[in-house]
Amino acid sequence: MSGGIVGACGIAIMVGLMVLGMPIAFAMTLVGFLGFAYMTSLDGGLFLLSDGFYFQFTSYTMLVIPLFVFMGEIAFHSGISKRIYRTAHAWLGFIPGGLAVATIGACAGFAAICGSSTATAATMGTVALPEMKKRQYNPALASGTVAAGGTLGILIPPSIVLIVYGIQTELSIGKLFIAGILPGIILSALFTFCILIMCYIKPSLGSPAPKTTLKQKINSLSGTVEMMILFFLVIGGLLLGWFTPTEAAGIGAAGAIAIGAVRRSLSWEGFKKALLGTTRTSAMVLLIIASAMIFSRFLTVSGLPQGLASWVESLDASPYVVLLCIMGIYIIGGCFMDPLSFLIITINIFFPMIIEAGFDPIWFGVIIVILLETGAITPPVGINVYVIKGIALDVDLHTIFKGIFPFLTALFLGLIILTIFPDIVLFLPSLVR
Amino acid sequence: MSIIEKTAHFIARWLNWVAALAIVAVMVIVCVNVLGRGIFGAPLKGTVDMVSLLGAFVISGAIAYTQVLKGHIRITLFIELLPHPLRTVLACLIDFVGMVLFGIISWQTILFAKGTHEIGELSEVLKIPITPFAVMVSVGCMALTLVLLADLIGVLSKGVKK
Repeated sequence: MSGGIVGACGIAIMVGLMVLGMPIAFAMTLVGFLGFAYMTSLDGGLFLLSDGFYFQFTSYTMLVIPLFVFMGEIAFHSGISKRIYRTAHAWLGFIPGGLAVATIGACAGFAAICGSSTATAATMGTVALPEMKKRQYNPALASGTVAAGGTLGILIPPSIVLIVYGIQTELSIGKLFIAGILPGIILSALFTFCILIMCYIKPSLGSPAPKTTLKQKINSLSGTVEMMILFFLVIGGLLLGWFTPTEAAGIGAAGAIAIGAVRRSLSWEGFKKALLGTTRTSAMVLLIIASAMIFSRFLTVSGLPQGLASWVESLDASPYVVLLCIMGIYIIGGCFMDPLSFLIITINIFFPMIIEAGFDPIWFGVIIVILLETGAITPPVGINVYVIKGIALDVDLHTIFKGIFPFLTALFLGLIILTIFPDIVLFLPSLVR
Repeated sequence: MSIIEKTAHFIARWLNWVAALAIVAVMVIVCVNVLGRGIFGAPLKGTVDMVSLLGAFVISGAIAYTQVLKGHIRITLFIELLPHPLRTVLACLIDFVGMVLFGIISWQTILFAKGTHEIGELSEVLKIPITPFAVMVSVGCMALTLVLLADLIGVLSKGVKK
């Protein structure tokens, strides 16, 4: 059997095991090990397991993930999200649909210190949903806004998805982070337009909150100071070359703890919960990355990714056809699987194709994030939707998915804009060394 | 709750706290290094060594407890459509395969640790023996194996009762 066929069979078996309910990390490790052993020798496969796990677990670069997760968890447990929301509420709440617009603004703000879309959705959901319910906002609009706004968590830096993409493709995490800023702002604006249009057509969806005075508005700004400090310290320090990504994450986590301590808003209980949340998320993500490494070694010896890349080249198809196919696969895959896991599994297969087709790898990183955002809010496995369902127990899944629909349009529009004008993504990274 | 389940969960919980402490330690070391370098012009020697080796505690410490919390992502969409007995059989098989897999990884990592001990492998800068950290990776995988065994016994005993 040729290597390529073994690789394809490996992928099929892995997908089969996943569909049967085997944890993604286990399925990748098992198939990676068996496939590598088949292609080389049993001893080779066994060595890959010990060597792979030890070196992945003791990788300096990988520790950037738990530290950034920790920073987001601390920010969540120390109430930074509440203060960001209060500011957005004071400035934007009085317009029709204003609380939903404020939620998008607050999600974008919280995304600047948190790298996960589920954490952003959960955090802002607990703060914003009760407020919108109090003002009798349409439940579909309210829950859809938080689920969609949460996706900004992985686009606006820091971003766990961009870190994982950067580690796997050996690209600069700093450049990937900065590349996410403008698209993040554009998507926030598109989400806002969506809400404004919906509320213009049907004002009963979201009634305006009472107007605030200028003094109240200015006073509320104090709530965003710590978010600004953390963001500029972490992302600024990373871009100015003061820190490596791991250092930036460590400084960010320590900064979030310091802010919580000074504000007296981080309790010992909150700190412990943040730590437990961090170990759980980190173990889940890092085990998948370690197993993906084992799986990708198997794929590399099978020659499948290289074979596919040269096959795509030989097709002589327009690069945009290739891109469209890959986008389609990500959108469909993201509907059925946790977006980050899907990225880790597939990136080694699709990245060579994208490079072969002549696309910029940093640009593609941002596009992938938006595709995964789409996956995170589409049925049947829209992970953010389930997070919101967990918070808003009285709203059914159908209503949330209904509320998501307009935001999906905004995401697709964002994808089209960034594909036509890739410079929006590449402009900021071109300014840094 | 069976004795195996209690033991497995107890070990997993403690290892998870070890992981949590290691995360705090990593954060402190990184900050001391950055502040030392930025303010005093004296970075902490061997930061990369210390942080990398602590990674063994962070990740292997937490993988077993994450399984206790059923936190390792899996696709449940399709199996939820299957009849209950078939689902139980599948759950048993998956726990069993996972258990054997991580048992093998744990065993192989111990052999790897033995190898590093025999040749006296040290970290690059601080020259710390890396064997204990390789052992920690093995212990974490063994704890995950134990939790999977407990899960398997749990699913089997529930299945037998029904």
